[in-house]
Amino acid sequence: MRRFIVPSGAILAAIATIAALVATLVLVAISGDSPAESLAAFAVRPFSSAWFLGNLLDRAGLALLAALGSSVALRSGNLNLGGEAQIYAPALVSAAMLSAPGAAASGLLAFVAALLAAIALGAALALVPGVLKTRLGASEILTSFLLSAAILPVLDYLVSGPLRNPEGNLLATREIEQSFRLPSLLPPSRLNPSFLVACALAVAAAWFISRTRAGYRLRVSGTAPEFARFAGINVGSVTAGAMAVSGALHGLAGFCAIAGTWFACHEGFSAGMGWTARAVALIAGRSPLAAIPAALLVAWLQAAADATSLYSRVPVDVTAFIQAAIFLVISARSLPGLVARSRPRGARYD
Amino acid sequence: MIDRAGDAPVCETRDLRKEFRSRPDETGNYRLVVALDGVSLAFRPGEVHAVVGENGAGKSTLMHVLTGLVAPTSGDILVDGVPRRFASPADALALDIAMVHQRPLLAAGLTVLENSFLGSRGHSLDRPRARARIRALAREWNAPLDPDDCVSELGPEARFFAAFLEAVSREPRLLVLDEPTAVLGPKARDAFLSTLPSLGASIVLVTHHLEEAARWADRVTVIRKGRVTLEADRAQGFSAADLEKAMFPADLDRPARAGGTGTGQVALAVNELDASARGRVPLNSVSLSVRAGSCVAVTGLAGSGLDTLEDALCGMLPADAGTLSLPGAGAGTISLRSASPRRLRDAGLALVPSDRAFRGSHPELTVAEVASVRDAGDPSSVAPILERAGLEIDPERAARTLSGGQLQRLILARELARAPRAVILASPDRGLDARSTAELKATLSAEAARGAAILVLTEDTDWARDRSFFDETYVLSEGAIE
Repeated sequence: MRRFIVPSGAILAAIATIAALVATLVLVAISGDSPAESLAAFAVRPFSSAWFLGNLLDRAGLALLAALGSSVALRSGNLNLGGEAQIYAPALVSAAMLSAPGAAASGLLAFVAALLAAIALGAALALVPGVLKTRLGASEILTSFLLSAAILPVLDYLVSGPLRNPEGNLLATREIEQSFRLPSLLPPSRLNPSFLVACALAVAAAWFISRTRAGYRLRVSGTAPEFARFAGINVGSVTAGAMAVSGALHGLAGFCAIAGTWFACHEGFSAGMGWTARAVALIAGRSPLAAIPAALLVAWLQAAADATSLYSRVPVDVTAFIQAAIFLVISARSLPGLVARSRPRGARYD
Repeated sequence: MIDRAGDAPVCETRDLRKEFRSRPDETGNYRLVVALDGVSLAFRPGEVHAVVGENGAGKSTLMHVLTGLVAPTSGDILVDGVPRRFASPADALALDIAMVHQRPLLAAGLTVLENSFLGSRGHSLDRPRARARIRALAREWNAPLDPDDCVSELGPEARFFAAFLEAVSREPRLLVLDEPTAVLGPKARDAFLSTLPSLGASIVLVTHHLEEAARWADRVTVIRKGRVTLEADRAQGFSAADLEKAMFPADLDRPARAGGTGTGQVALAVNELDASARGRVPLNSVSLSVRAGSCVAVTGLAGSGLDTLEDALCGMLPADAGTLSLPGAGAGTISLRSASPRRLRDAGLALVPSDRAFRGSHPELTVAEVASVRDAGDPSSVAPILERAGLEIDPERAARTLSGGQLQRLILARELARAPRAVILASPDRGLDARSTAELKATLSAEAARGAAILVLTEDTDWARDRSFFDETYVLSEGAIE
């Protein structure tokens, strides 16, 4: 009966977003010396130059790629909370492969190999929780989060130890070869073709979910698992497949972050990107297309927070507060339903 | 029973009319379907008011209008004599009008106890007291309900009681029960109905069981094609025969199955099936066989293990031992320890579940999504199935808007679309009116005549023993065939 009393998802998403926005603006206004100056920096600065605008779009593109991954898992009735490691690990592998001595000599081959390795690694990291759910009935929410949490310190160790650039001062790998770097579409910003790839993939995902047989199985298994199983859909392989695709898209985000944005993998590389993607996917609700504006919105909020802390006397931590505000508002409406839905019904998957 | 005919009604409807659009035809045109055609009714305090009619007569629509789920096209609803408009069920609830749906959507992650708090007033959640109260009510209702069960794991019967409990905890003045007995076994049904007057609310009992209405209601309204065709209270008197006359224009022809079939080879065999699960009656070495072209029933009372048998035969519950074979299908013998519904269906079996709402369909999917599931959502498979089901509805409608009879026709049409070699149906007649039941029987007879083996699991022992329909009847008792 819940569904009859609560207004529809789109309205709630709008309310949640506006609430987060208002909370953010209040925070910005009260935390600096001059509210007017802070608010102006917040609203206008992200669009004030090619540098800011390009980086905002680049940030949105990366968030969108990972958010699509999150979305695919959500539609199949699974919650992939391992995004951080699924971005970081493929990023590290890409950085290591593309900065290896001699990699430049193999040209396109090395680039494609790194791309495929990143995608495969992301997929594998998400497939593990998917298979654990299918075989053992273990909650993918817990296992994906725990797997990620266990891997992150190992990745940090690799970046700051064995794979660290010995000539640099940073806790980071070597920079990748010049020839592997995706060209900027809006110099001097880091906006690169991966943004367009992300938008194209959003359209493709929407088409896939609404128009294909596999998309139908995904949709139905997510909404009505018992009906799906009874009707002969292999819910177990849908779960495993959706989780693998989810991880692959996170892996692609990690690769693009190296090849197009940062060019090297530094310690703590994922830096909340996995969680940002989750927020974008939850704002977008059930629609991959809605993830495009949602990613732009979240990227704007983040870029605006950065700009505000640079150009007015608002503390840097305001970024974290904004992230928290969005998450709180979004998750307050979505998570209870998701957790209830993905609780296994004591049934075995086939 | 107290005659309260003189009391002012809690709620009245005046000349309610509701029109829906039909499924568009090839040219994109649609017709208007009149679901309610000028319905005026009065619900008086403390009365059990039965609203009867065949599937699709407009009972459910009337109840949805009454509780704010659907807005009427025209007409008025008066509460305590004041005209009201309901924009949502919350508006109706605010005026103490509650409803228990046929397929209730509960808050899936909560326990029965927590779910019952949804409707409670006041701020303190006194768990021990509420728990004791639920246990007492479960005993009184004879309901399989434990306060600490997770709502998402309940069967249809317990799910109904959980929803009923939630509605009652709101202390409504008008309580609408949409075919409550459709999900209850015969014993639970009587125990439940006998407790209704003690609630003190005005009860609207939607049903198509005429005996039930004749026995338990203080007042009866019969609806046919959206109009009221009979209104009577107990003082005026009414019998099941009167009601049937008002429900159906002419006598129903009830086709018996053409005899002489069922002489073919065994087409479906179950061997030595053992199954057990927490909280379920275990099965002990159940063996059955059904010949091609014959109809066979397995019957048993509540607690006989019929539900365990359904789950094990459908591959929804892994058996401890036992096999199912479809001789001649080239599928060989399937172990029921590891059979999935997918495996059984691939072997040529059609499965019609007793839980139509969540297993045969899902309230949140569209009709098209439910119809096309065997074709992985292929939109071109929808129209033939709707046509076979005789349903003229918009395929983009949500499955939860279908009446119980419509839903069963949709599920049957989908399952029979591929000319299965054998069909297993669980309680296929549950919740269906006389006309829909007759249609169901005719459909099954035709399938048997085509050469399919039909196995029906039913709690209705009278039907199971009907020799004009079933060639053979197994009786299940305490998990074993007698």
